[in-house]
Amino acid sequence: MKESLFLDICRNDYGAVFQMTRRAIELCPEKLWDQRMDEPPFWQQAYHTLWAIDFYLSDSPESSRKASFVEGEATNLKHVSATTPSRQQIQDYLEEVSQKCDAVLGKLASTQLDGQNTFPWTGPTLAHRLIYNIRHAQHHVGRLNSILSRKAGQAAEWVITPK
Amino acid sequence: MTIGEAVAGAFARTWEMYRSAINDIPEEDWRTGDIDYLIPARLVYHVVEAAEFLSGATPEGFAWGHRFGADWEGATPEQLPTREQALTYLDEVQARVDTWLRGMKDSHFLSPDPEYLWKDSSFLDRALYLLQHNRQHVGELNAELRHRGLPRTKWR
Repeated sequence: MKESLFLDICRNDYGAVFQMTRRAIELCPEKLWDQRMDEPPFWQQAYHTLWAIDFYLSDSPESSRKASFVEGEATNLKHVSATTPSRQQIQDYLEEVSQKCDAVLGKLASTQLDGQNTFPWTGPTLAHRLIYNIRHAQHHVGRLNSILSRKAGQAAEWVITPK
Repeated sequence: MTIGEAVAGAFARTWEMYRSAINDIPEEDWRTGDIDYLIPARLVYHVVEAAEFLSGATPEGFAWGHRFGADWEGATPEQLPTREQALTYLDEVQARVDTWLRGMKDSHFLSPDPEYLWKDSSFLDRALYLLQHNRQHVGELNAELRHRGLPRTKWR
């Protein structure tokens, strides 16, 4: 595989995911932020989206981390959290994960993409994992957008080429 | 494993989610909804048509809305496909996408494909863009099903 091209594509697609998630978080009305309706609260879904990107960009499941500003189980969308992070905390976390993504993609060596995947359920190679991660994140951006379409009347616009 | 096989596998899982959603949505919910954009038939129509478009040899001449005589955004509920029509369309387009993906060698995936997305994009760009688009809308659909108290399609 021509690694530089594959990684360029990943940079573009992760960048689009971050831009759409960033915009969705901005668009969420204050009253919707912690509202538990027929869905987990908006903040928890945004957090889950970012945490999963963070998780799958880690070296291994064991070396992944959970953010300190939320309850550890908040990554699980079935968990009912007693505390609510602020919008700013989630936005800061987004920028942190975005930077991590840049760093991970930036340091990948040519031989690693075809190498063994330490998250085997996402596919046999690291390249599979990088794509799985984008799929998962985009799925959740769609969920966030659906909630915004219904509750706020405006959703994050689809991004082709991130700024 | 070739790039085509790997990407086709990711698409197959996504198509299964759509197929499952179409089968599980009751008839009375399929072409209805208080928010026009979130009508399930409309979202599915858009996704399948976009996949038909993006798996073509050229974007030139593609007639949006050709399949059901109305564009996905402007169609009235009556103009939107029935569940059976949507499944047939999905089957056809899934086969088309699969053939497209599996028919390309790795070198072809990595070659320039300037007509669809942007000037210096590749065929792999286009394939992954389409995959991302599919996932975005299945996420939207799932949230809408949840809102309606209907079973959501299982993550694959």
